[in-house]
Amino acid sequence: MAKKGWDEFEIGAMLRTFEGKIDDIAGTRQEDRDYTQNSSYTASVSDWRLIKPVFNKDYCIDCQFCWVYCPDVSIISRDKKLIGIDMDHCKGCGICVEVCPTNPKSLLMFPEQADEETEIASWPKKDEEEA
Amino acid sequence: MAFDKMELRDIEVWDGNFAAAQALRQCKIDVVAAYPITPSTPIVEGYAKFLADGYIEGEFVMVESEHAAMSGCIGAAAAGGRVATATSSQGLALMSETLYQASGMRLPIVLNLVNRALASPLNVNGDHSDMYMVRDSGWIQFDAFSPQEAYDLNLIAFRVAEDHDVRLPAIVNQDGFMTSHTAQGVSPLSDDAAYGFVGEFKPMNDMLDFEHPVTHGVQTEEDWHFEHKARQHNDLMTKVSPKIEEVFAEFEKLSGRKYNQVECYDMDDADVAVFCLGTSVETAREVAREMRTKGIKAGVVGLRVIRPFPFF
Ligand code: SF4
Ligand code: SF4
Repeated sequence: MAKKGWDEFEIGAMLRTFEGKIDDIAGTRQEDRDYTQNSSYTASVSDWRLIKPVFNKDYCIDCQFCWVYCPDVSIISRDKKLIGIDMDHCKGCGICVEVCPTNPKSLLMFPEQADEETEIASWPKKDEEEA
Repeated sequence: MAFDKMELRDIEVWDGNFAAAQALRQCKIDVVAAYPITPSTPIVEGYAKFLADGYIEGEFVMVESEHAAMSGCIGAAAAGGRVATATSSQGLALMSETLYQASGMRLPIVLNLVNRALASPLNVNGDHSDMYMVRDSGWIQFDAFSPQEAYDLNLIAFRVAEDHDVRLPAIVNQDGFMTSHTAQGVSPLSDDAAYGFVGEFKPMNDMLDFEHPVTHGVQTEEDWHFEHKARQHNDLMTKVSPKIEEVFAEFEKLSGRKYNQVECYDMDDADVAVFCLGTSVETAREVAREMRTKGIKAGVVGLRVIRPFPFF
């Protein structure tokens, strides 16, 4: 990024989200948007997380509850299918796991250092009592 | 919906509060977020009445404290509206945290500060302790000595504050009760002339511009904090005074009323002088004139612009 002089930035405690103009935010996917260096989208805050959600698509019914409830817009959904988690911005709050209605849950929290494939291989079975 | 204009007489009998409320009506404020406090209450009450009676199209937000009042003003100004409010004394003290937010965010809010002593002891009448308390908050400060000036300086404050090179909030001071509740002859501009002078609000980096989304009130740490503050203070100290001069000159052409950043009366040959603010100026001039009949060459200096402190 080009360096700026002390009096060359725009006034006010203000940052722009996108380079230039954006016509249709709602219709433009995040990966297709031209975010600025100042945008929180371009910064990773994954090191704020102690535990992380792991997604197991075998049980997912694509209800989108997790997508609706995630406070950090970190559930990635395409064409109403859940495809994964934005691990650069997920804070590990566990709300998505809490709201997931399947049995067993399609999202579970694990320690940050846990290996995803291992956890998915040993995923809990259906809870008969709850069912 | 068409909004009614008000037919004003050449000379109206207004107190300082009503004069300020009339100026806010003529400037077509988008949002007033306010909490009542003596002696400033009639300003926002007056605005609310104009709104209820169909004279203005705006939003009056009744909030739960002065802190919330200025917070509401900051949100509305960042969204891209012309914004004003009024307060006094303890109300300003409660508001003070947010005043720094407004100036750092470079939001051109106009605050009518009806000067009243800060407690304790509790006192609803005027001194200037509230005005002094926020002198380093980064706001431009004007001082009105009379209801006429309270009216004029409101129009002037919007012009200066909203200029895109300035973009700083402005306080218009008037003395509690002595100005705010003392009815005098005031010569207002017509609605068209007043709005023509202030002009349509020109937003800058407004949050309601969805094609250019912005985040307001961001955090900067040691990397950018000094740069932002240096820029803010530099603009306050170098850009505001010339702008005020320009707007004063334009206002004189329109109204015939001449303002100076420092008002001097009988100072050319004065041996002694009284330096003061607010309604004291008029009293001091009266006394100085009397002194001169007794052979004492007295003069008076009244400070019209308190921040940035005039320097030449
Ligand atoms: S853990 Fe919290 S932040 Fe992360 S995806 Fe789930 S709901 Fe979102
Ligand atoms: S809440 Fe559970 S089932 Fe619903 S979309 Fe998310 S992961 Fe899939």
